[in-house]
Amino acid sequence: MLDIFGQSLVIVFTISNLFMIVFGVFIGMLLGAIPGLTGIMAIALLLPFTFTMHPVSALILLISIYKGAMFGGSIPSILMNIPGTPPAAATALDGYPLSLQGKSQKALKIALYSSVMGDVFSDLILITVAGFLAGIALKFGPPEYSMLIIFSLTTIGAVSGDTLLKGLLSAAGGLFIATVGLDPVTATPRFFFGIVELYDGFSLLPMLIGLFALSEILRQLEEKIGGIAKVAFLPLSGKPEDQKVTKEDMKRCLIPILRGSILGGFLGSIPGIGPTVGAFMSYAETRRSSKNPSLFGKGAIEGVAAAESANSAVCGANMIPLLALGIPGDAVAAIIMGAFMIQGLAPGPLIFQTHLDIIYGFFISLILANIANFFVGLISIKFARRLTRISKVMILPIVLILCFTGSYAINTSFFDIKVTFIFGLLGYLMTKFGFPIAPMLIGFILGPMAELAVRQSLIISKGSALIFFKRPISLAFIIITVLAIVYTGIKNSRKSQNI
Amino acid sequence: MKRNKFFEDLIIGGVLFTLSSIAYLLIYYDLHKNFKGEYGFSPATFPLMAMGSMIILSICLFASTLYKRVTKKSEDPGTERLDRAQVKQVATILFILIIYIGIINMLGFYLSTILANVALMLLLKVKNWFRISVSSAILILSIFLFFEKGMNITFPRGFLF
Repeated sequence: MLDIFGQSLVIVFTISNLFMIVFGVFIGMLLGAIPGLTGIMAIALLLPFTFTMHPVSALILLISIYKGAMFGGSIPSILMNIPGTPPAAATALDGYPLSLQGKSQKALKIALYSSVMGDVFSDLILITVAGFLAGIALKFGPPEYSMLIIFSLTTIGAVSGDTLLKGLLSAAGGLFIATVGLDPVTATPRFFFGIVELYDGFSLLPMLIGLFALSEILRQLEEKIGGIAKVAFLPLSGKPEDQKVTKEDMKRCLIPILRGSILGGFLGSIPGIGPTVGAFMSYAETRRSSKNPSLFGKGAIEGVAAAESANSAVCGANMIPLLALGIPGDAVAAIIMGAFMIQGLAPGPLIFQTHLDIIYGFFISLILANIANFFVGLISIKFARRLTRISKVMILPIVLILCFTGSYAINTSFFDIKVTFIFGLLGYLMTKFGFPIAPMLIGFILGPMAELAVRQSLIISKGSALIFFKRPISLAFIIITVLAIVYTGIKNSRKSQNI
Repeated sequence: MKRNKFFEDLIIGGVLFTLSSIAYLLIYYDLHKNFKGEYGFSPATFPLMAMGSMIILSICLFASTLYKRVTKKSEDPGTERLDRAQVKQVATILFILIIYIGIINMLGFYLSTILANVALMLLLKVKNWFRISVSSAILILSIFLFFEKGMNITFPRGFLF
């Protein structure tokens, strides 16, 4: 194991990979700081570029972008009350009032420190737990895997979107789309309608770029944008202590950061819980347990710390089900899974046995990306105002064109451009009508695995579906799935009655 | 024009039910009957399960929306104005993209990309031609250097270049 770890160190510590970490963090921070461009969009767009890279280099780039974007989103959130990324909405609650008081630099710095600390905490959880969980998952057979996938899709569908039903419909849609192409067992062509390119089914990356990047850009572009807007910033207060994080500030924020990190780390390991939920829950819990809850919403620095630490802590923990079980817990994990798949790797328990060097390389890059995030973040804070001046109007058309360029580049297939357009339009319409898109993507990725697992289970049991109920772990997943559906249904029903 | 979310959900539930049912029947009669598999599991089984789930879920969506509306157990989310300017903007963008995809093979990737970029910026009311020209030039140059030179990917050429 030590020699494999040594190999991983050698792979990671090259000049190009170290440059990739810093570059990835910077790009992520830049794109996260521009409202309308999210970390997910950045990763989706840059995924095709990783095709020719070494697997570790590809993962380094993508994870660095994501970490940079998680902090980057808090910059416009604090300076302009416009969240750069959805999870940063919780940061704005106290971050912007701090800006109004002329303390924007203090707010940005505490956001950075909290983000990095939350990130480090969840990465340590990932590194310690993933391998252990993978060991347990190796004991899973096809029935357990089938029910685990059903449970994951149900949970993801239940917590995403306006309602449970819409989330589940999205997931079922993804499962169906995954059946286009050749049947995995008999190679019978399904639903290809004479289109040769559909023999292998829809390509993941064009679909992903369409659903996450193109649809989001269309949503951004529907706003009335009247040319290049001039942004006016709030002045800084003249006091030096208002522009830095003092020991007293840090003392006040330690418990919220720890609470946020633990909450985010726990929530992130559950499929479907994204950083936005983690950030708001941590904020709410910190306010509830504060001695002065009335100060929250008016510039309480603890609010910024709680939100930022949680939203960053969710990210690392989201990778736990991906690496250990091969189940992406959210959209970003699904995209990272896409990165693995491009490289011919299948995340899951077996990867800890077959490609341990890549896993160690991934873990090392997580830690290095946190360090880079800290230093790049300190520099970015000085130029934060300039970052947010970059006009959406100039960037969005370019990003739109890059969506199609990236899709074409994957297989040099013109058909992929059409796929991106169609899924972009579908994603846009789904968002308009309250249907979440993450369950569709995850259903698409997990569909073939689920079908194979179900078929293998039925072969083992000679056609009897009782196998899913006779195996204790499989039965446990079924029970938890049913309970999750019932609980979410009751909760949604009560919420709509209390409105 | 106004949007009513209850009405929308009813329509969506109905449309999804109709489409899923049609798809289910087509899959059953075309794929399931013609291909047999082991232990009753044919190439059509999993698609049928997915479609079946969509049928049930769309019925539930329709029924739950109707129930909420009829019993008024939850507050009507009400109507919101559908911004015609927004709809027009998105429709125009989609039109530009369709034209862009259509002309790539005719005019070539680079020329059609320049035209699409210019059209989008004009639509977004960027009036400074210097900015438009510079951004188009940077875009094309970056794509050429990174993709063609860096990744050896050749984009479609038209009759010009």
